[in-house]
Amino acid sequence: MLEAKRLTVGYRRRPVIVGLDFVLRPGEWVALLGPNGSGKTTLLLALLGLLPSSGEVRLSGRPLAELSSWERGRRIAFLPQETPTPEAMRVREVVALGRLPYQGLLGREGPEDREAVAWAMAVTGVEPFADRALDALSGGERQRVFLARALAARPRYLFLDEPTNHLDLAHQARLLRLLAELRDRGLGVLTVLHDPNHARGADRVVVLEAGRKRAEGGYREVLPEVARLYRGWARVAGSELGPVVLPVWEEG
Amino acid sequence: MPRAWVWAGLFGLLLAALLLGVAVGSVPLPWPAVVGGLLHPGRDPIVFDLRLPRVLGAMLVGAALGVSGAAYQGLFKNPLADPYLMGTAAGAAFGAAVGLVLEGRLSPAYAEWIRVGSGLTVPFFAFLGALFAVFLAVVLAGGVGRTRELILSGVVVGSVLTGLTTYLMLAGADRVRAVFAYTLGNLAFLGWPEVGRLALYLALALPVLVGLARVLNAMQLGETVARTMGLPLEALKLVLVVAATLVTAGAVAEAGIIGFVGLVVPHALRRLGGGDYRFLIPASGLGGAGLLVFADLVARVLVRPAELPVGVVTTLLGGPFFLYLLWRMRARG
Repeated sequence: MLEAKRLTVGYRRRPVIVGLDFVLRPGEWVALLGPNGSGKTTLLLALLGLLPSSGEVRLSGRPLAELSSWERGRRIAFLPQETPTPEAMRVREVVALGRLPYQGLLGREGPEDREAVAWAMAVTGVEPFADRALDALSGGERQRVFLARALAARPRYLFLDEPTNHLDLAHQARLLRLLAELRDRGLGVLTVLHDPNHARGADRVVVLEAGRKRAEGGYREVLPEVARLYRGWARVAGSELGPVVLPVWEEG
Repeated sequence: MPRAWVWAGLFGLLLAALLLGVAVGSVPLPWPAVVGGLLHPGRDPIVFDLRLPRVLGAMLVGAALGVSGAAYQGLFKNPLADPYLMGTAAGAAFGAAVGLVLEGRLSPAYAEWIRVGSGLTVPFFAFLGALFAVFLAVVLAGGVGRTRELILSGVVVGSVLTGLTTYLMLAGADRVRAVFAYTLGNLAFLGWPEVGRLALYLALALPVLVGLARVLNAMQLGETVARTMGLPLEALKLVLVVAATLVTAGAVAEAGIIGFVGLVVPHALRRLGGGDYRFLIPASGLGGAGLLVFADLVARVLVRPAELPVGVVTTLLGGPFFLYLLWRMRARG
């Protein structure tokens, strides 16, 4: 279990996260929603141990700060909002980089590493272009390669910062299905999402506003609260798939 | 292209460079003399005392520039980065100018004493100047953490030092030619002591850079990702900067400023064999070594019996190539 208590992140004058309690369990998908600047990405980075914070973060009961950076890298993998595309690198090479937390600085690739890389490529469906150059792939394919890199560490927790950005609807849907599958395999998945509707498959939604937890619960439960955050510019509407949030620009 | 072919090509290039570099000169040597001279060290003074140190020196300088160019491109995540980016060239020129002007100011006997006693006045000052420039750039950038600040402070330090060098050249007017010649890059003065020093710098830095090649690979995915994988990035970047600066400073101190090798070689090899730094760093060493020997051959042959500074040749060849890179990047969007 990944657990944060009274987590505060930021400068004294302008804290970005204020006294937040947060839990992520293995086999659970939690979605972070909230307007721009509400602290979603900051929360991810703090839970990764990359930002100075006060309060407690514990991973399986141990304080995060006590773990070495390599240990953290093996347990929590992170897919940022934008990953630069390395020039002239093959897909397999990029995915294999995910094994760094096991190899350290001087280690070499062993059979276990190759197995994990093959598994990650299979799960994400990037095997067919394993030997192609990354810069030759489409944005959606590339995103899956970067996800495979994260999974190659065989982490217990997977953090994704707006993973559906820049993807067309089909690629969005495929990615969200993949996240649900990974959750079913026992991974703890934490996603920052821009589009509240993408949280439909999540087990729990945490709504942030100005660094504080505004609401927490199932997707349907928190949807009215989410719509309210956008002060008249969003509304809950019914659809065949259940309630959704839509942007509203019509007068009245 | 399969990497095995690239390696084979690079070794072939190096062997051709060695043979041609020894054979061609003011006295052309027939092939049996070249091979014989190489196989029996000490037999032929032209081969062993004149041509061979120059060829080996050119190889080591070229290797240093290729290796550090590749490392800087990885470090700055910028394919247009080159070894001089952080002020090494301007620093070395400044150091050399200080050395040359001092030498002119000193009593002849004292200058002679320094020269004979240390054997390395100007290269020594140039080496210190290069290290000083990078040190200054890193301090001004507040460490190696922020790449953009690092590039900017390197550029600033470079232009300030270039200004100071110009001032020194004006102040010590009798030394203008010497400083100027130094900044153009020249391999004509490379002998066995220089080869020894260059080999030492490379032997110190190359294992570090090759060993950290995977760190450079990881950095290409962004520094946040590299950190989440567990890499202690601040410390590693500092080690990379120190190692890359050491070889660059050594090369520029012994041979002056030789442009474009460190930019062009890693770039071309990335196209041929891919962007994995475990391949790119050693391959750029071989490629730089071969390329600089050929550039030196052109410098020696083109205006025979006189010589061009090799820096002029690499700049004339590298400039158009650089434009080609820019044009391709623009075409790719």
